[in-house]
Amino acid sequence: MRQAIHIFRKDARHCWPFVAAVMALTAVHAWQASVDTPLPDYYRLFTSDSLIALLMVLAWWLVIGAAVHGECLTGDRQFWTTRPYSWKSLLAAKLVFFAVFLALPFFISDCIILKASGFNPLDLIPGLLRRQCWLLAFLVLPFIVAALTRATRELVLAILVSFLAFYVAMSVLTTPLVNPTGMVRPAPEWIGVAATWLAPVLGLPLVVWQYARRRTILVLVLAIACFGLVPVVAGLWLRMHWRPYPDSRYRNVAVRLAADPGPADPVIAEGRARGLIGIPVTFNGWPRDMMIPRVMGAGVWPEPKEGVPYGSSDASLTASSDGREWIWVPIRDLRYWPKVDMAVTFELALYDRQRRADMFSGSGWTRVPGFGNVRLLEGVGGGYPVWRTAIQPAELGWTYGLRDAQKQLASDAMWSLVMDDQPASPAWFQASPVYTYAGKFMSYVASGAAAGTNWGMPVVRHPSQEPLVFTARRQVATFYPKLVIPQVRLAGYEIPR
Amino acid sequence: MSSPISTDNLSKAFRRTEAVNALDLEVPEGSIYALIGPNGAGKTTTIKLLMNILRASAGSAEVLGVDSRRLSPREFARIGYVSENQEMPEWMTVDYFLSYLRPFYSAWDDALAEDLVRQFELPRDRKLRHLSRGMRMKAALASSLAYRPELVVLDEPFTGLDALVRDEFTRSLLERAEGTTILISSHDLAEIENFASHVGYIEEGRLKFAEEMSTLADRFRQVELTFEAPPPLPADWPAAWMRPETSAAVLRFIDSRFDGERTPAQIRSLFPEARNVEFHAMSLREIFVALAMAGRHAKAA
Repeated sequence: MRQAIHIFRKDARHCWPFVAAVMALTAVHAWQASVDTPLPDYYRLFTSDSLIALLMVLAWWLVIGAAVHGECLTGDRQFWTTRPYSWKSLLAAKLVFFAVFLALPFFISDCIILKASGFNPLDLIPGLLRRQCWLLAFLVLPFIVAALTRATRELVLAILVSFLAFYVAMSVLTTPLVNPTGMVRPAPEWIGVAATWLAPVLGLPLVVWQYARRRTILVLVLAIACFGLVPVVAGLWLRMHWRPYPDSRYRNVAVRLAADPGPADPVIAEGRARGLIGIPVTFNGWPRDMMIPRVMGAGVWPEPKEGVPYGSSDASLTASSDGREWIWVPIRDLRYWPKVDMAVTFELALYDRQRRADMFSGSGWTRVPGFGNVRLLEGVGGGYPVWRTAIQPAELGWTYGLRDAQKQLASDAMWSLVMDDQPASPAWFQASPVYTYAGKFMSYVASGAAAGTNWGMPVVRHPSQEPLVFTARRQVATFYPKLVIPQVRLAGYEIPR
Repeated sequence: MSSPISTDNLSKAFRRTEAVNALDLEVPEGSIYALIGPNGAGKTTTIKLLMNILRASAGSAEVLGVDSRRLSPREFARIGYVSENQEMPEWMTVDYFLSYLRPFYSAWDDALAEDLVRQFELPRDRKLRHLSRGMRMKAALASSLAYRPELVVLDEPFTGLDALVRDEFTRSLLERAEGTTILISSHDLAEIENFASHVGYIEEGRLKFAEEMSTLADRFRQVELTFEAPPPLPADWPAAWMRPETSAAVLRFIDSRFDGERTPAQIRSLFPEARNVEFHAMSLREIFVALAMAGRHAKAA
């Protein structure tokens, strides 16, 4: 251990510019992630946050390279190989170095950010330790690349190639999977978790072996196999076998769709080449407020069956003031197609109600059990709700509703934080331990006005003394039903555009 | 006690190239063993195999009684290794370099290190990357002698050094490493000749011969015969007589197995018409050149 500490002190002396850069970037990152801002995340995401995160990653990799290359493991000219170095001490020195100059600042930064976001770090120790494991997993790749290269230039080149290969492999793993019906489905979260552990489980033994034996070529071949081939093969296998939302209780739920007969004040636009037709529909078989239907596409076939079928991906679903729901399908050459057969494909996400919590819109972060922390940031015309979860991103397949008792929100719609359209976000993509969802609320149809589907950020106009109500719903099934409506008289449904 | 260095059938191949080929080497304790040979003969590869920097393709080597593949920090604490192309921690100053290495060696002698730095006139605060080649070699040697190693291994230490530095280097080595076994590979034969006790000649990865320096010097003679007229070379030309050359009425060759009684008798029997016979002692450099040329001719033939 004495030798390890001796080497560690040497590395600290040698790598201090990189260490200083890591410290500075970590401090900036902690400060930035701790400061409340009325701006939604997407304003920050592509500016300073991601820049700092990128610089942090670069600094981590360079500091690892500098430390490992201090006693380069490849080649046959290194002075240390004929000195009384113990490889265990050497490896221990590097690990201590990473623990002190990378892991510890990261841990402290996590605690600061959590504290500033209203979370108590002491309540989240297991999660913080998981983040440390995440960091280890993330740093194994540059560690092993540094152990197989001789200089920073080689390291950078190798990391670029590795990153490209790793990106391709991870894309296969985490890209939303495509099912046979053509619908995009998110990849399961456990893939990201497994990938997080794959790196240290496969990579650390290779690092240890390289330190013990310095078998560069063999370790290189094994590293390529581990980090490149295994994820790709696993990803391909998953593409073939994975099924979303495998909750068997809901597999046989039937949701009936029907075209609502009768036009709603049809207007015929004489001579127009293009138009928009609206077809009222009804959904039965599942509570409407526990269902989010989306129109994935619509197609029409002229009657009699001749001519070219016409399809549209711009079809949408909204509610009218009388509470009826309408499919809107843009269609061309209406006057030539008095009657068509129509097929509309839906995606139906079905939810179970899970939790409800009340929150007073006071100042500061309010803990919403099971949800995370919420606060209203002052903005023009009211307060903007900002939602934060600690350590883990909001769970895939959940939606979160926010409203007050008097419905004094920006609109009468219910604003939901929708988590069902994002791919799984493996924790290793996020530098901050806190996930913020300021800009990802979606309003969808509730009773009353036709709000439509609208992404944005709700403004709580009059934060009242009444509690804001949060509800959580868990997505339990997804269906892709097809509604076929034969013999649609277009003249009866057409409205001017 | 067994030899500090011994190899048994040691071989190393790089793809199809046999860099070291079934090498049997024995370095006696306390000797200054010079490993000589032409470029690419396998000297550096042999040393790297001994230091466990490279792995042997076949055969084995023992260094300080331990299989070279299992050399541990305990053995390296007793070995001083200096190589012409060693990559040093160039960001370190001379002082820091020595103080960094100090805790690795229980036998480190501060006074000796201080003495070496002073003797070599090493600039303490200068980084290794800013030292001249000679200074860097001196720093490496100082760091390898300060713990009084039992075995010093020097791989081409004189390459690129001027005469003065070479002299200082050699003098310090001999002063400070008295009684130490030294294995040195070098092209600087004139320098080595002054202090080597043993010499091993390696060519194409094979050890052609290994013997004490004094017997080698005794064994090689340049022979010069003078005739009335240019003589024809006899058909039964002895194998030990190398590089025969004739010019006018003079025949020269090198006898690699010179014997004060046998060689003159052999000459008289083969060249009874020789008017005059002269024997000249040869320097190590001359011997080396003769051997290298003979090897080259044999290869060409």
